[in-house]
Amino acid sequence: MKQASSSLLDNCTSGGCGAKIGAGELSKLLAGLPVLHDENLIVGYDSSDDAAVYKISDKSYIVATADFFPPMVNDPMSFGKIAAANALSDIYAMGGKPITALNLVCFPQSMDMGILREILQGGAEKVAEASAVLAGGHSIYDKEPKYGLAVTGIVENDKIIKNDTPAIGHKLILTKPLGTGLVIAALRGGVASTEAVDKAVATMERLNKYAAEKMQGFCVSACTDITGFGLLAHALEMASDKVSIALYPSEIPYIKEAYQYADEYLVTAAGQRNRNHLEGKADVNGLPFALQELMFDPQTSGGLLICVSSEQSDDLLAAIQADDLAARIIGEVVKRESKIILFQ
Amino acid sequence: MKIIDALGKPCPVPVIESKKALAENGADSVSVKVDNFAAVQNLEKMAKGYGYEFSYVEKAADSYEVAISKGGKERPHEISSDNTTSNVLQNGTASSGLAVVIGRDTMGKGADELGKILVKGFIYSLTELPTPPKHVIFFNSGVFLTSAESNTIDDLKKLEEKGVEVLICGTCVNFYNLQDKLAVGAIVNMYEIAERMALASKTINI
Repeated sequence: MKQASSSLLDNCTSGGCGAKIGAGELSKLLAGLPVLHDENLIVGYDSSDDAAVYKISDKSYIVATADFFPPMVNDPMSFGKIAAANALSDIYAMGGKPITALNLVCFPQSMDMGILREILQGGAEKVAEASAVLAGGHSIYDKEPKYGLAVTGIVENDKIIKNDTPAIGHKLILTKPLGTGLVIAALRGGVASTEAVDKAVATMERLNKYAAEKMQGFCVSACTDITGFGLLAHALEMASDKVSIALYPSEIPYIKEAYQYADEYLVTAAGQRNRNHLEGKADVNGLPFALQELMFDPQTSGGLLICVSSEQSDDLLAAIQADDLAARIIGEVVKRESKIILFQ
Repeated sequence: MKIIDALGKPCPVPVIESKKALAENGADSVSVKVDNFAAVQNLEKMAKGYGYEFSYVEKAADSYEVAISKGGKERPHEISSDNTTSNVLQNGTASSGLAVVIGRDTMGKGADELGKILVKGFIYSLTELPTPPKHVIFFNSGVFLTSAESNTIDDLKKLEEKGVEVLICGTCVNFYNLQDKLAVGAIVNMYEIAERMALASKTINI
């Protein structure tokens, strides 16, 4: 069995989006901050959307986001690609197009600088694939390596797609399989198969650009990308206080090995925090335990969750599947019921 | 009772170590020290999932002691031989020889014509190795090499005669509509492929 060098992972205690501060914790933190009003700030952190949107003219808006985290895989080049794909994703989820990116780097003084070069190389490749330009960055010494990007994108007025405006009757498309958090955890525990890691790395390195480009021209009412809060917490954000979301459990795409790891209770702390956050809002008890865990699983560079009109959903799915085979229609938006997330 | 110090160890390490301890012969209970409540809850899911007794004490905000007792119930059955991870989990370094994994019908990057000659040469060379591989696994366009029309069939049959297990990805065979054309090997699913790869002491990817 192929054994990757473990130097990157040995140097950090938590990796990928699993390192994110929990959704509940974050809401509490932000609630205490003063909110400065600026009429040009169209989407700010008060709406917990994927990226900030700022109006610069009647037609043009800036989309701004930053994302960085500790390594979740051993290969530095892969880590760079994954971190960049993850940071760029927020721009795509807002309907925007990335234009510039800045490297955000924390790196131990004692570690081999060749590793950092590979991380940056991987990131630069993804920025180029996104047709954006690397414009600089900031790097500091730190005990544990971390990497990511601050990305600026642009979006035209009528193309902004928020994450909490789903229309009742619309269908939900998920563009990538769930389970990357479980595979990363199994890797960290030394029990992941090479095959599972390869699958997870491939999906994490994948840009959401292609699925986002397909959305153009379709009647899309909301979109978000699935990251550390897991499918259900992101669906909860999407439903906000207006609607409920009914998911089709049998349609949810996942990495097969991740299901197996979940069945063996090789689950993450972040996944459990996501479960706690959904307490009382989604009744998962009727579902197989492994599937529950997959829906709570913190995703790194996860797929887009796209809310599209039901008449157009098959066409959009077919278009997305041409490049992203795992994409599925996984649910629909319904009127508000007592539970926010339902299962059909 | 075995005591496991999992302070500072991220999930799922506390669960993995607890399961290992509980799977040992004669083991009935473990005490696990963890530093966050999510880890306590993850141990609880595992314990209750197997029908074990579970309790915990909060010593401080970042210090918990979890007690899990099998109460006569079976050892954690996840450590079985029917999947990849468990074998690795149980045996540490499981080993069953060389696995050659062929995911394309050509070898190397460049002209396809050359790649096809090379892969034929490679498979022939496998038949000449003093110790043949334990498994040769075909997936994606690699499955074409196992069809009756392939010029590698004779060498693959020779490998089978030498006791090499020739395995073919069923999904791929269906995808390329080769069901009626296979001339060698056995169709397997991805679990079986993953299992063979994980158990192999060495893997060669083509």
